Amino acid sequence: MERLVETVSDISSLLYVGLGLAAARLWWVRRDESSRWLAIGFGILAVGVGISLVAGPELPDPLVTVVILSLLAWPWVLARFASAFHPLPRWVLRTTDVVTAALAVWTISLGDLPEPGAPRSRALLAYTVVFIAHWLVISAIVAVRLWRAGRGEPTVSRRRMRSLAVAATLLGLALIGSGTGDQDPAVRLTVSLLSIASTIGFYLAFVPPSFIRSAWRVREEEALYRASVTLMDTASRDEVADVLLPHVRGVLGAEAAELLATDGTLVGRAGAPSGGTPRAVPLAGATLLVWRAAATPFWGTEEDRLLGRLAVLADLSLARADLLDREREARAEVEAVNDELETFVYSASHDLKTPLLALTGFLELLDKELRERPGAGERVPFYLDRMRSNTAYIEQLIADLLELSRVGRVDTAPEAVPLGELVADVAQDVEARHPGATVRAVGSLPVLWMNPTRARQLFTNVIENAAKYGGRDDVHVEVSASGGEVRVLDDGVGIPEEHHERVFRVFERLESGAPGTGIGLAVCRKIVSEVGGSIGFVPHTGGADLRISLPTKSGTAPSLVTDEGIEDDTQAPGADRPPTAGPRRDDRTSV
Amino acid sequence: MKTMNVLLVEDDADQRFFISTALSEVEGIEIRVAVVEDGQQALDYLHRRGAHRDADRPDLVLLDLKMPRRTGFEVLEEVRSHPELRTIPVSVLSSSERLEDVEESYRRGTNAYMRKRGFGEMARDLQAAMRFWACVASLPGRPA
Repeated sequence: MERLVETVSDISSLLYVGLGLAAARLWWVRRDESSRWLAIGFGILAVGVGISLVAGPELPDPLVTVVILSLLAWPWVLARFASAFHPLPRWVLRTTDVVTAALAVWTISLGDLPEPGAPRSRALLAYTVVFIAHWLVISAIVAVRLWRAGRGEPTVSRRRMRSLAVAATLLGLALIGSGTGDQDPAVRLTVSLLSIASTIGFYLAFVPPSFIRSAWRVREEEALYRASVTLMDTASRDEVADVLLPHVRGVLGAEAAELLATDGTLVGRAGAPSGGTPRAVPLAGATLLVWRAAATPFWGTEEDRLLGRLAVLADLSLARADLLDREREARAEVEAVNDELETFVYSASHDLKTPLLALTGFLELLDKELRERPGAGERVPFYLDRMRSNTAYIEQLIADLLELSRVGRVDTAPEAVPLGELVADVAQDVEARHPGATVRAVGSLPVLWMNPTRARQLFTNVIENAAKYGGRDDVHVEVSASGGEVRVLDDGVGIPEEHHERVFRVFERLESGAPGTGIGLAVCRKIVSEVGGSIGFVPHTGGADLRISLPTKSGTAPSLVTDEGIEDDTQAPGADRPPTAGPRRDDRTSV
Repeated sequence: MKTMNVLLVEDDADQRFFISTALSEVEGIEIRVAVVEDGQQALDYLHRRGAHRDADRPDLVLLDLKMPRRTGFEVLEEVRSHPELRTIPVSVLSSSERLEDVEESYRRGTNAYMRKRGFGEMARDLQAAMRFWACVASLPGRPA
């Protein structure tokens, strides 16, 4: 038993020497006030314990005095340490100073100490009581301080402070045990075990092993994960600040956190700093300022690493927010330019239209007067007709240009447009305008999902084009759907393959003097591309074969679903006509 | 024969000529046309201010939109917010085909929106419109 007690006691002493070294290392790394006091405290304790360890139980009296003085210094240093991160009231420090000084003088004047187990004098008993009371009171004050200061701190920091509080308390209890001078092996063993337990607490506070840190960090890891998930939804710097800063405070237990733009303007803030210098973390185009809570003696690499990870998250989300900002700005700019352009085109077209309208009016009045006066000149009606035709053309040109500028910008929300009904309607109009032409829907046509006005404009344009430029009056047009596309097939003169792209450009017409403004197909392409579809001619013999893909009601993807299609894909309706490219109808050359 | 007092608000001289001519050719209705050249003059006329002290209250206002000083929209807004003028029927007569202009006109309280066209077509439009206002519609102060 005696051996066991001795061994445990020696282990405890060794651990204290080690703690002295650990505290010295901590101070070497951190170089701040609280770690300096810790290093001094544990250094003195290590010296005292080391002496008794080396000299063994038969300690000469002067050395015993040194050991006692080292123990006496401990609560005094502990009070300084606690005061370094959260000042203790002045009177507490003053009282500690006075009591410690008095006890030191008392210790030196004690003279020869009785052998262990020998009866003690009254004076010695009084000394022991004052000594232990002083120790216990200071330890208790500091322990409570440390415990409370840990509140709201990151878990690692909080647990380290609480370990320190528990260890200081255990050390106090161990001292009471040894102070009784009881030589009972059980008491001595308990004292040594308490002492060892306190060293474990101190080690956990100073140098917690990494597996314990990981276990302690679980809460912060989860908070970081939540922060990263929430940050992915932020779209502006303000939102990043709103989401990030509370997390920075929560994860790091910081008193306050601020996000500053490069020019120093405040983007966001969480908490209110009570003073002191913040820790500044440079980010992409911003700075993160973190104020540590005043009571954080154990801010270390752990917390710095957490801060670093938050900084990376912040950097990423800020970069993303900036990117989104730039995109928004660019889009706003484009929209502003578009609006300006639309206003310009509108004003220009209005101003061009006004004199044209007048010209048309006077032409009509002139025509009327001439009719009432026969024999004014044979060619005059023809000249008037040409003037009217030209003014009508300019009017149409202006109207078409205006339309082209407006497609996609002034459209209402998409609606379901049954293509079958639409084609039937358009067919009636086109057949009325082009006697001889026939328009027919083949098979089932899908329900489109787009602006109905634009859908009508699109199909009126393409069907009318087929009837108008077919090269003869009795052109047959078929509208069908197959393979995810709408197909507009005619048996007219067709379009040479090399012109399949050109015809969609503004002012492009296949022959000079052809009717129309050369804008219609450009408007069609714009309508289609606005809804994410495509339009184009495919090579075909004996007519033109136009394919259009558009969004349908079932989904926004530009595809069509239909169960019926044209049975013969290659044979155009009325393909018995020779595929010679005859001249297009031209209302100018006909006179 | 029915009679109608029409206030024509139009800044373009040619259009004033066409519309006045077309109105004079309307059959079956005697139309007395007062002509002003911009929105400000229109409001002066309606409020009987300055040179328009003795102006008659019009049965119908034919209103252009794009005009100097006060636009047609502004005239509409003021007419519709005035307790005595708000019941006067107004028909916009504009060359604009923009849906926004049509909607904005009705939002500000026009009773009709007509588009300016060539002379012949406009004359037919006005014949139909005037027949409607004079013979079909009941107007404030003069039941049909």
